[in-house]
Amino acid sequence: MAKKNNVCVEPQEEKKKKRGSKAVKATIITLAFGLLASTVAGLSVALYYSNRTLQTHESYQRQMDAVYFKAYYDLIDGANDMGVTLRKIGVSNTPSMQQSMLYEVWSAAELAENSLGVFEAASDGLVKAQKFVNQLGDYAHALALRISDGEALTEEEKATLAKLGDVAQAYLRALERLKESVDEGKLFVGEGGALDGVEDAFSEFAEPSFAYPEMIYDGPFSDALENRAPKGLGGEEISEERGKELVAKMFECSDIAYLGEGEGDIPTLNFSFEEEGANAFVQLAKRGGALVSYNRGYADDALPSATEEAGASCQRAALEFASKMGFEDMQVVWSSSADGECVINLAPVRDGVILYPDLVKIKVRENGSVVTGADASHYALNHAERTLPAPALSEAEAAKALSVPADSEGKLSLIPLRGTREYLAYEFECHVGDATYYVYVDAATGKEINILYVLDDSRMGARTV
Amino acid sequence: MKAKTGIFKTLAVCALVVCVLAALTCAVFAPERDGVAEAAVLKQGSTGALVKTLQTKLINWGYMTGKADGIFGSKTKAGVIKFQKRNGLTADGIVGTKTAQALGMSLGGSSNSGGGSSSTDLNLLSRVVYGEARGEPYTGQVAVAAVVLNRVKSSSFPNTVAGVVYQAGAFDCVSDGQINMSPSQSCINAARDALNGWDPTYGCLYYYNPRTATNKWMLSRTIKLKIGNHSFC
Repeated sequence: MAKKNNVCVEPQEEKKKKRGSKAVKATIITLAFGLLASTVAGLSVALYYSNRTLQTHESYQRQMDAVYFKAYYDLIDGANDMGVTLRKIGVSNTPSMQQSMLYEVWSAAELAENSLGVFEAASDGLVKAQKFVNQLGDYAHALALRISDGEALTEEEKATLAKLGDVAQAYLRALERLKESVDEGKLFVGEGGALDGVEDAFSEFAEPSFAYPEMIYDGPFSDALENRAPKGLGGEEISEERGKELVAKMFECSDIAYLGEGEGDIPTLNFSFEEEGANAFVQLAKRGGALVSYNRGYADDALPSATEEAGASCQRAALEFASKMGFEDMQVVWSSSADGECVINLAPVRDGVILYPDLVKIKVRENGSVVTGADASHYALNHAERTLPAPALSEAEAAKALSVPADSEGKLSLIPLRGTREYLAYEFECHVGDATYYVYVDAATGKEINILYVLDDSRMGARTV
Repeated sequence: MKAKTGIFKTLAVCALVVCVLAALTCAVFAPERDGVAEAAVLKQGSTGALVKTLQTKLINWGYMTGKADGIFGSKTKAGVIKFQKRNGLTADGIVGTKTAQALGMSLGGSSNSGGGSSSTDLNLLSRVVYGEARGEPYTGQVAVAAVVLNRVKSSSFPNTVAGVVYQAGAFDCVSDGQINMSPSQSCINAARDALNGWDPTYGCLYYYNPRTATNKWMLSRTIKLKIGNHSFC
């Protein structure tokens, strides 16, 4: 019986087991299908998005390529125009014609300069290529301005311009080298792109085969401005100890740290000390030990704006500070205020003439009129005993050059122009509507030589441009 | 049992794979966020340079005592409420646009509507300073701004601030996007000093961090001044 029972029971259990395993199998299959389906769905979503990202990436890359291609083609245009116009000037003999072509050269050089500026300048060749084209444009501009004074080009200037034509040729050669890879259909951006070849293409400029003339002329990029010796500094070189003594006397401070020398255009000894919890940085001229720069940082806070009366006491503080530092006979020529600090510009006055090239700037915290900075680099670079010419024109004669009536007396001033020369001029303040202008009339010729416009700006303070 | 364990293992692995795939998909394709989110409001719990500016103003104007620590706590909140009450603002202790305006603060990076080229240059320059030298001493920050301006003046570089800043490869903060962060007040001050003529480097055109710089051409240049972590040349 037992056996029978056993025999009877077994099939039922097996059936149950079979049913059970079928259910498990079904579940597993369903789950597996589910998993497969979600994996496929997930992958499709991933694929879709990766494709979309790739497309966006490619679109950005094409846009970047467009920027480089535009710069490349503009550079070719600029270099071509420079070269051709420089040649034409060589055969022209009429000042007005020469002037118009010099302006064309200036404009072509600007185009080339802007286009070249798009490319990375991490090699001597590219940096010099930029320098040449900037100077070329600047030189052409300076000559064009001079022609407006009625002088034609000299033979020497013509020869310099002809030499500069070689610079334009060198540009075209460099671009020719790049052209090969562009013609092959290479893009600029991406691995092995034409961008990799830019440095090589311009390597000729590092040690040019053409004769590049030294460019001394009246312009901001003139070689005369490089490595100029500071005129306002004299005396013996000072030692670290002497420097510390001077700083202690100037700022009535102790614990002065020596930070080494600065070997820029103005050689300095650098010091720092703590002042009201902030770090103050002082630079003294290595020759003579005069104060060249002082600046104090703040913690990350904006200072409260000051009242109107603050202006006057800030100016007093600035003048006192200047006198203490040894800058005598200074007069406030400009002051501007922003974010709770004002910058007072002081200039020395000699025989009634304001000497703008020798500007000293003093920064004063309006809250409490505390001097927090000074910059005497212009003074260090330009200050010298000058023999000022007597003005050829009276103030009334100079005022005839103005197109709008002046609201102030003409002040005799010495002004720096185009970075290289100083002119004796009458300064007139004029108003048109709300706008304020300063017009400078040459005291020798009666011509306007500069016009400044006062731009009032909440973040920078009032400035002239 | 062994077979079942095997199946469950397979299932578990499949599930894991799907999860990982899903997570990866999300991670890879989630919209990229900018490194910085602008604080639209300052409230209790906020921290940073803007809070410090707020606190300094409140302390200077007598609405709060203590130190400006850059953490917006209950004391700062009380100060803000006091300020709001006295100035006819909703006294909720939260610095939104109106309270910020009354305080003479700007909460956003580009909300200043003041036009004019100098303001634009100041903005761009202070962003460069923040992106390149926010950890440097104040003079180091002025020096970085001055290098940008020295390049503008130099014939060997583009002739505008934007031209110099955005020249390819010129500044790391442009390549890594840090230039798009909001500058701190210290960096704005430093940029303004440089625009006003301060230049501790007296004409330098380059700077680098000797610990991280790799460019041989750069490293070959004569160093003229060292401030903080930067060598100027």
